[in-house]
Formats: sequence, C-alpha cells, structure tokens
Amino acid sequence: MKVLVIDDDPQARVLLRRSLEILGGLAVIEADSGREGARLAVSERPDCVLLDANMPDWDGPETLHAIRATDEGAAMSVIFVTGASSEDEVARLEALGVTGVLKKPFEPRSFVAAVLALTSGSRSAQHGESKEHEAL
Amino acid sequence: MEREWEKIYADLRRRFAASAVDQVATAAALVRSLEIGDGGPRLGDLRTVLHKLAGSAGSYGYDEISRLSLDGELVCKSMIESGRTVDADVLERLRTVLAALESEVATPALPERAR
Repeated sequence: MKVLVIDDDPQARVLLRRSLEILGGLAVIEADSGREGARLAVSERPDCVLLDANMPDWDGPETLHAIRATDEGAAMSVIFVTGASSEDEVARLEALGVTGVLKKPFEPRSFVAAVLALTSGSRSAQHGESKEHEAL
Repeated sequence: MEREWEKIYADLRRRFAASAVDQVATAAALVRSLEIGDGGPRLGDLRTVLHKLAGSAGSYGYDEISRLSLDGELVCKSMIESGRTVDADVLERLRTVLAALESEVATPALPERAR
C-alpha cells in the first residue's frame, strides 16, 4: 500500500515516514505543502493520503478540496492528522468527508495501527464512515 | 522489525531533541520581538512555531515539551482570536513558558515509552 504524507513540518514527516515504513510495511511518499501534495495525489495515485490539517498557504481543508476536485482524488482515502485540541475542530474536519481524523501528538505504533485499520475499512467499504481515532 | 524500529526511533528522538533547541530559540526570539512592540504577525508566527513543537514533541515522547508548547500556543491563540494587543501580563506568561521550555530542551527527559 502506498501512502502520501502531506505535512509542512519536517520533524513530523520523518517520524510518519519511518513509522509507516517500518511498523506498517507501507511505501511512503512525502509532500511539504498542500499544493505539492495535491499534485502528487494526482500523479502518484496513493492508496491513502495523510493530510496535516494546519499548514501555511493551502491548509488541510483547502488541500482536500483540491484533491477531491480531480478524477483521481474524488474517492481517494484521506485521513486528517491534526494537533487541534478542541473536539469542535475535530468534528469540523470529520464533516468534510474523509476516511478519518487522527490526532497529534501520537504514539507511533498506535498511529500506524489506526491508519491500517482506517484504510482497511475504507478499502472494503469503498466509502466507509469517517472515524476519529485517538492514536495515543 | 521491533529491534530495527527501536534503533531508528532512538536516532529520530536524538535528532528531534537537537532541533527542538533551535525551535525554542526561534520562539524565544519572537517573544523578545513582542517585548519591543513588534506584535501582529509575530504572534501568529509564535503560535505556528509552538503548535508544531507541541505536536512533534509529543509524538517523539517528549511530553513536557509538548505540554509547555501547547500552553504557549493557547495563549497566542486566545490573543489572536480576541484581537487584543499583547500586554504585560501576556508577555509575562509567554516569558514563563519559554523559560520552562529552554530549561526542558537543555536536558529533555527520556520518553517514558523508550525506557
């Protein structure tokens, strides 16, 4: 399974990449901005996108909108990763039609398990319900 | 796999701890710029730095750095959303957070889950 990580924080990206590769056995590609991420979502057609909700320039929801506007990304599995501390913000992200919402900070093993569980569900149900996981 | 991960995670934590010193220094410089009346965008910049630090530090197991950064981020968020100018009380709260962060990154505690 190929995962696209979109996050402007290099410290977050490297931890996500290495944990997904080693603990999850996944292939990982990275983008450091929403614009670049939306471009890679079309050209690389990943099985899943891990999308940071809070980025400069295009934030998570704007990037999601750009991905969804393409033929390749219309039904793509997208999981928001957010440092939001309020449940209202998490609920707002869930309502945007994503596979799930995972929180930062996260414990790597739990985070990878949550990604695998969410993507497994979305692959079997095509358009599974959005779920929030506490990846702690 | 487990042994490989432990080795890599330990290396990633060391790198993060080194970079956290720079991130806290950046945040401290932004607080100093607020002290001389250079507010506005600087408060947003400070919030961004602390937001990233809060998320990353916790994920690398540095829970106290994460907690302190979140405290500072919430002070910034509150000021930005209220539209108020940065006053002496807010500056003091931010100075206190940054002093604690500087102390914490000087000798970051070993993450609980790495023990």
